[in-house]
Amino acid sequence: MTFANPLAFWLLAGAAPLLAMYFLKVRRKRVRVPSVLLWAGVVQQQRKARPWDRFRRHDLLWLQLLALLLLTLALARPSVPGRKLLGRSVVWVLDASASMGAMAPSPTRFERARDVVLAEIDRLGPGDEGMILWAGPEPRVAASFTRDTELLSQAVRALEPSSSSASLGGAVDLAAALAIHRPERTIVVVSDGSDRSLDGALSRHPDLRIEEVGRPAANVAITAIDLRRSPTRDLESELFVTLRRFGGATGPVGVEVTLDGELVTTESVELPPDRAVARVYRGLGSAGGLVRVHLETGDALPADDDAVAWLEPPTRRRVLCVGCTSLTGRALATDDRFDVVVGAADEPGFDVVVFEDAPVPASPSAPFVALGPPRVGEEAASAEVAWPSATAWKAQHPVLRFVEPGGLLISKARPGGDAFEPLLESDQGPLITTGVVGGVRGVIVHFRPVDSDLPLRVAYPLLLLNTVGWLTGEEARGTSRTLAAGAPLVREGWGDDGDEVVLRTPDGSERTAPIRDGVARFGALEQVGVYRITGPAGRQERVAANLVSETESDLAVFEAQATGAVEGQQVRAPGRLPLTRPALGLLAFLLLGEWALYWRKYAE
Amino acid sequence: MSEPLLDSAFLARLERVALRSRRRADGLRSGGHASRRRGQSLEFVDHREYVPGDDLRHLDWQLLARLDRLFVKLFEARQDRTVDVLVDASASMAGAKAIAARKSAAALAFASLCGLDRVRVFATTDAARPEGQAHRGRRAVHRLLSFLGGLPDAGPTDLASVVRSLPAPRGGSMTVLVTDLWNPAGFEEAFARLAHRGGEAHVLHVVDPRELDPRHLQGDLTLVDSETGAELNVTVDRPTREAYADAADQWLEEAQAVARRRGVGYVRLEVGDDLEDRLIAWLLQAERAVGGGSARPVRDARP
Repeated sequence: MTFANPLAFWLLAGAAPLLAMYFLKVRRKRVRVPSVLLWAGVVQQQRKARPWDRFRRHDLLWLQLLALLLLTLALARPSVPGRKLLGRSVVWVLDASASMGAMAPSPTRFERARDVVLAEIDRLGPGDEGMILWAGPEPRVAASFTRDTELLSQAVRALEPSSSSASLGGAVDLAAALAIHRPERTIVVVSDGSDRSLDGALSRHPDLRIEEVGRPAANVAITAIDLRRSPTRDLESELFVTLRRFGGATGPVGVEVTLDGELVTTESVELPPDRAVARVYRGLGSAGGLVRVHLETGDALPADDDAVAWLEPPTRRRVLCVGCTSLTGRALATDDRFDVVVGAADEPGFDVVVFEDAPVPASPSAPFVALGPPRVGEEAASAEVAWPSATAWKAQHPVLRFVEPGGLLISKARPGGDAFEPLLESDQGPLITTGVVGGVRGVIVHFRPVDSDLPLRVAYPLLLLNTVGWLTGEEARGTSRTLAAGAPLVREGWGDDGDEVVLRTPDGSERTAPIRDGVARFGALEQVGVYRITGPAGRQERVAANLVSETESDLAVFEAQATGAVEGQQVRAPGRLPLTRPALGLLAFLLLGEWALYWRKYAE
Repeated sequence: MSEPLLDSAFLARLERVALRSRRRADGLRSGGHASRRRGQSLEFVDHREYVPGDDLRHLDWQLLARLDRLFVKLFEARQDRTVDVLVDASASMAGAKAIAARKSAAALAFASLCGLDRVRVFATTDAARPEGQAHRGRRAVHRLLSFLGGLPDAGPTDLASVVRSLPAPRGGSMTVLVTDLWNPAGFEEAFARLAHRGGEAHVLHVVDPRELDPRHLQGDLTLVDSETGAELNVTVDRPTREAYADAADQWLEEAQAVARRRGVGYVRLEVGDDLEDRLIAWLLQAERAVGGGSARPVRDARP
């Protein structure tokens, strides 16, 4: 036996004061009795019958000395050579995807998964350790490797399923990376198998075992939802909903659409199995608000029976058109949201100013669109070119959304320089750029529309309306404000680098993301509901996150191919066995016995 | 002692009870107890043939007329008796036991005086010399009460020596030892000497239940003997108390068995009991054991 802390043996010197205190303290009480005749006989008889009574006389002292010895031993941290138990390392990956919230039939699949993990934690051996991994949209460690089974159990009990899809394959990869130095590791995935990424994980990790929970069940779900501006009425929107029945037989499903709690419409939709049915709902008005779609199903997974969208009320914009041709005026007038005023020069009081073949002042009064070579700054100094051909353009930029510039014929143009950001490139230089002039953002078209066939194309009004909308802070047509839960949120053009964008989640908590390279990025939107984004200068926008996942709504249970073996044999390796804990346990037991003896002796 | 040993009500009850000896009295004076002697009481016992010298007043004239033979009538003689009361006044008796013992002794003495017996009271310690003087008549009760009331509780006890030192009884006698039997030398020899004194012997065993079931004792103690001053270290816990209670039960049974074996009457009086009732009951029991004789004085037989 060796001692890691031999200095602790100095504690044995405490026996001396203990003995002194005991014998100073123990003074027998003198009691006068009529006769000790019988007492003498009793004492003699007991000494014969119970010879250990002579030690009992100082039993508390013996116990205290023994306790002191054990305490000294424990503090000295003794150990003996032996074969140390090399325990297994088990990582439990709990599938926290939305489908785990399905009734199985009762309780939910996730609650069953918790029970499975808790039962396996109870079966851990003395040298085993475990880790808990929560596999939601972004996997996270709920409990690091520990032998404390109570801690593991508490971590498991605290877990809840998410409202979105999960990447079990990624979670398993993470588990394998965290346990890479454990020789006897096992990864146990407890899942209903809705995530097909497990197939790949099984082939990558031979030490993976899948515990299957849940039973197959029929389900009806909303698999898509979106709000788009009405193609015929710019001030109104249409609601697109896709419904799907997974399994079961054809049957009607009640659909209810509400706006801010007020019923908009309700209908019964006949849904065949395993086929998507798209529905369009109108009549939402232009006031804006929270649109909610609810299915009357009563199926196993209620989470996909509701979906929400945020209907933003349209904002009317005042547009000043300086030098505009009739083509440009009519193109702008196709959108009911814009009030177009024709003027001779720039003047304040407008949201956007369109300069067509007119000089742009050094300090425009509002965001501007320059149609024709701008005669401002160095842009005006560029040389005129003939017949440039569009070669590249940023199709994802809001200005060019749905605009097809390929094949555009331009007789002459004055391409822009490097000072502005090009949106449309030609073989002879940028033809459409965006930048800031006089502190105001603008979009510059470096050729006159009449010098091209652009006004004859449908792209012309789209380009104008996109540009005016983008300059006034509105997204271009087709921009969706509904996302799938679990997806990240990315917003461009919300300010300059260093600014911050605040995201308020449906449960009221707030997350902040800095703008870097003009982009604000938030992680996975785990909650279902409406998020509010607030940027610099009070700019606000709402987006809705819904489950809308066919993978999660399909409640067929994946037939897992169980591999690996969690019940592997425990391995012993040479090492030193610490005796501190046994000594402390014995000490606690001894103190308990002393307490009981004291009360039996003196407190009866 | 602030309270009188015997109050007037108890005295009245005692007057109605006369102590009767189990054996015929053999005293020198006529008294209230039946005797083996034939005497001049009114109680007819037997006939015998006349012999010269017999008192002619005792001839049975009716038998003479019927049988034409001379018979004299024999009458029971009434004799007195000596009652020796020995009171344990050792240190172990201090407290409630001393009061009970002295009250018992006083009651016994008074009842005996009422029965026309001679009564002698002794204390068992050297410190209290035996009062010793024989008393007759109920007037003597005041002197006896004064003697009992003035006894101190001190010193050791040697019951056997004290019994041996008692003056020899004359004629019919009864010796009553009132004690707690806490005797360093044991009680066997004392019982034997009581029995050898002749006459009737009784032990009134005064017991304090707290001594036999010492629940008030607990822990590491040094027990000091009240008589000898001997000390004994003992750790009292529940098993020890149970063993002591068993030993006390055996001790009581042994006292009773020794008394029976020696022909000594044994009565246990527990402190806290209704002492007066116990004493009256014991006196009545003793009277019945004698044979139901009356305690009243009897007149001489008249032909």
